[in-house]
Amino acid sequence: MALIDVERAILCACFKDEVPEGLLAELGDRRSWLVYRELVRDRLRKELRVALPRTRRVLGDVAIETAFRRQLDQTPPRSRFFRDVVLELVTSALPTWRADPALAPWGADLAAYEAAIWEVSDIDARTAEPREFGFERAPLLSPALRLLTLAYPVHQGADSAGRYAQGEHFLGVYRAADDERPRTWTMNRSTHSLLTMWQSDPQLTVSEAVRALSRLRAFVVDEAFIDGLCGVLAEFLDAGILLGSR
Amino acid sequence: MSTLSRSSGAVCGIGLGLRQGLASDLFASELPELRFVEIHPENYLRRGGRFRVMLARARERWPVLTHGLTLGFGAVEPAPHSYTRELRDFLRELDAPFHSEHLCFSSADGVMLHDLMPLPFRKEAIDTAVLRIRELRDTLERPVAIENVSYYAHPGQPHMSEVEFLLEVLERSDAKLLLDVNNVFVNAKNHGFDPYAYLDRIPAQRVVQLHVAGHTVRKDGLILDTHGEPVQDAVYALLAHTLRRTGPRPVLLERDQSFPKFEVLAQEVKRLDVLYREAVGEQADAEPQNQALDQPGVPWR
Repeated sequence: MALIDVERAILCACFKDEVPEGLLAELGDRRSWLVYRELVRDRLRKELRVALPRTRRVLGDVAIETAFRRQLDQTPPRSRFFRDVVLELVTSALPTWRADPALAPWGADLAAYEAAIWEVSDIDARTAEPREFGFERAPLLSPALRLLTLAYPVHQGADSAGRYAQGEHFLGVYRAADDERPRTWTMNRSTHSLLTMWQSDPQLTVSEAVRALSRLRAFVVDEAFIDGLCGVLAEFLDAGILLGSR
Repeated sequence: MSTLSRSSGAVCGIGLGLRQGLASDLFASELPELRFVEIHPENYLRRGGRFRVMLARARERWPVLTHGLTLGFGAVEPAPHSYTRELRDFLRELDAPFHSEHLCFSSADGVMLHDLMPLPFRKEAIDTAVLRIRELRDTLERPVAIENVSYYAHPGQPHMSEVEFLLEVLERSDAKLLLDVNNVFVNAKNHGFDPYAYLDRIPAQRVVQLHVAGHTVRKDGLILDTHGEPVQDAVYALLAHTLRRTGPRPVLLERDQSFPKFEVLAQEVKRLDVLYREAVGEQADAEPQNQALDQPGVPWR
């Protein structure tokens, strides 16, 4: 075997759900290659256990392991940063978990929420020096902010039966400026939409985003709206969700 | 704190890996035997929050050596330039005297295994490793060291022994060596060779750093390099033998999981320090110079 074929064969032995016996025979020492397979998988499993403890409790080991095996087989890890295996697994598994009627309906939301916390906890949040905040400038958001729309309030405690009521919940998961710890901000749909617009178009000014939102939602931007917006933007500046203007 | 190892000269003596699970105890400790810390750059690149804070605090107290996990030199696929340039800038920021990666492969076709996979001891793997080492050295603009890995299986039939494979890669690439003594022990036991004979063939002038760690023995007798147990007496003996040949070098105690109470780890550091001093003799307290580096006593600042 050429070196590239050796490397592909070992990759297959570690990640493919079904490892052809012929391939193991070609690599030699079947027992030891299966040891490698388990070592590689256990290392990844441990990271998932650390990052997604609540998801694991709610979905159960079987669902997590099934998703994990499918991910390794079909969309194996591509980031060189080990911490990213959590996001890679969750991204791969969310559609299946959302669609599976046998699983707790809030399990997928919980996975998305825990993955967001994991991601913002240590993400590099350095930016260019912000300018003073202004309505005619594009706002500078913290890179350690993830916006979620959830059908279940998994950021709050479950009821006494361990269930969550269905609804619509708009969250910002961010790393706080004061103690560098992840926090969750519950917001209304309009605020969530504005932050989403600024994340997707970093050049959009505050005024432009507000006008776009009023057109989209067909509401008039009145004094009460502006007062409310000023209040929440000031709170975002204090919290470190908003850093200033670009 | 050791002023000797920080203020001038190259890093020598005993070090620990900077791990999140150890950090708070490490920062709270007064352990003069601890001369440096080692980090995996992958844990700090594109990362902020607690990790950057931890690194900044460590740099205030100890020299920092860097040891990568994902650029195995045997990978047929070259490392992305975007990553190696980012690594170069990071090493520049740290003023790292050299950078080490493993003689293995960890990725293929863009897929990351997140583990150290063995290479076949054959010419094609040597050619590949030599090429990758030169590429990385050129990009990083500093000496590059390769670490010998533990391996539990060889892909196909080997064309040479592990040490012959390692020596040829070293010679042809003119690389430095991060010699993992525990890996030599583990491989010697698993594959049946004399670890002392292996170590005696290593050119001492290429060794820039040493690693020691604990290992575990499975029920079926296979020994795994886990970094989760205390260092075994047989590995201490191999380390002493190696240090008598190399002279003063940085020696890292690798502990990555199953962390004991910090006092237990500190005792292990102290035991290693005693062994180190006995092995290198008077040189232990001399102005440290890592003679394997092209510029002995590369200043830290």
